[in-house]
Amino acid sequence: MPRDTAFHKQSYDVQQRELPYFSVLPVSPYAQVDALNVVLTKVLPNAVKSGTAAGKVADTLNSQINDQLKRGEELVG
Amino acid sequence: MPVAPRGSLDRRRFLAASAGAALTAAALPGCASSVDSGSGAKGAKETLTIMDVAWEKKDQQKVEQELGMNLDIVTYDITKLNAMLAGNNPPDVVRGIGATDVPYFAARDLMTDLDSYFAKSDVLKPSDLAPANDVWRYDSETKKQGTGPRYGMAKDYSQDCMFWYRTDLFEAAELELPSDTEPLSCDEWLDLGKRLVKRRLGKVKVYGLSAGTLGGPLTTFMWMTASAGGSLFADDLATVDFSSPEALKALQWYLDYAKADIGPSVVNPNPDGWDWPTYQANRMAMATDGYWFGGTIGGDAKIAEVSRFAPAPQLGSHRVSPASAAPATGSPRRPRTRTPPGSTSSTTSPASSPRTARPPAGASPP
Repeated sequence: MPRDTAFHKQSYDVQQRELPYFSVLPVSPYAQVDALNVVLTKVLPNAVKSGTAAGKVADTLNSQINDQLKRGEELVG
Repeated sequence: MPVAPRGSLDRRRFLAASAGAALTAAALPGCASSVDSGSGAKGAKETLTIMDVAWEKKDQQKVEQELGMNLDIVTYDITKLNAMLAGNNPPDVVRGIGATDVPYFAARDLMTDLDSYFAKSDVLKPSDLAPANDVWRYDSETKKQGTGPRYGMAKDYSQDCMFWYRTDLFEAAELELPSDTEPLSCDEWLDLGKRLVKRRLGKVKVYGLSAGTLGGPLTTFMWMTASAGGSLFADDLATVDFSSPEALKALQWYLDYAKADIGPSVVNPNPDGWDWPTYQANRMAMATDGYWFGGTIGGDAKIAEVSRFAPAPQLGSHRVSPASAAPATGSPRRPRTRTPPGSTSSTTSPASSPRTARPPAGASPP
């Protein structure tokens, strides 16, 4: 990785210090991430515009996303 | 050019943002749709179909000569890939998103186990691979990613919740620069975004903060929930819980961010499709992108001079800096079952898929 300019050196050093915190977070095999993102992109705009409380938004997301995951689990087993 | 603070990413802009890549499943006759064609290798009879970002013609011709094969380059699109798999006519090789794609495709037996190929190779040894390559492993028995057969090899990876910022915009706003060593709290990050945003006639002219991570809003919630000490998915990965205290904190942060209208969000996507054009045009102060984004910044000396990199912010006391992509090449296999990919995701729509946040061709990480 380049370190020949102040920009490259700063970014390289920050990246090196970040490495100990590297992680891969678990993703469900029961639905494509794109499909779950579509739920979020449908639910969240209305929630923001209407000022819906976070708890109620959470209930809606749980319901719609878990429905998708359940269907996927039934197919995959 | 002012940034429109309202309006969704419509299909026309999606198509533009994704370099004309999107084809609907209905438009596919179950076969590969070539978007580029080299002249082919002399005398070659075999054709390898590769789903990837667009290739430059000279690169394709060089590889064709090296391999003695013709290459059919199909531009990556998840909907198209699903349709090709369902049509029992998948590409031979796909550049996909390991961190988030592998569990889904591996659980459906739609990827080729590459262990035997690695075992035969004199060049590629699993022991030489960086641990990030393990996102391309999946154990169907235990349903765990990171162990089991290897289905791909990372092209690159980054810790995608770190961010880049413009020192000139911070200085103009008389704000102290973020630390190189100590992560900001997400509240501090949001506050900076509010101070950096610039509006004209009620419309956002300069984004203060682009907080979306590669992989769409789901990965943002996964990261922030983990930073708060929780997990969005249950241990068996069969359910999510946005109502846990940690996930609710992440959700509240995102609602506050979107309501503040200081950067691209699911309410107001970036018309540019990804951060770089906006960042380069002096219309974005902070951009959430991994180290790979520095390869793009480094290509513009003026922007590089006023750009710095910062650690991933924290929502809670847990410092986590995840990779949400790790793109790589893997090899699909023809389905053996009648479970079509995407059958659990009938709502998937390229017009609204947050994967539009992926950089277009020519923006490859360093």
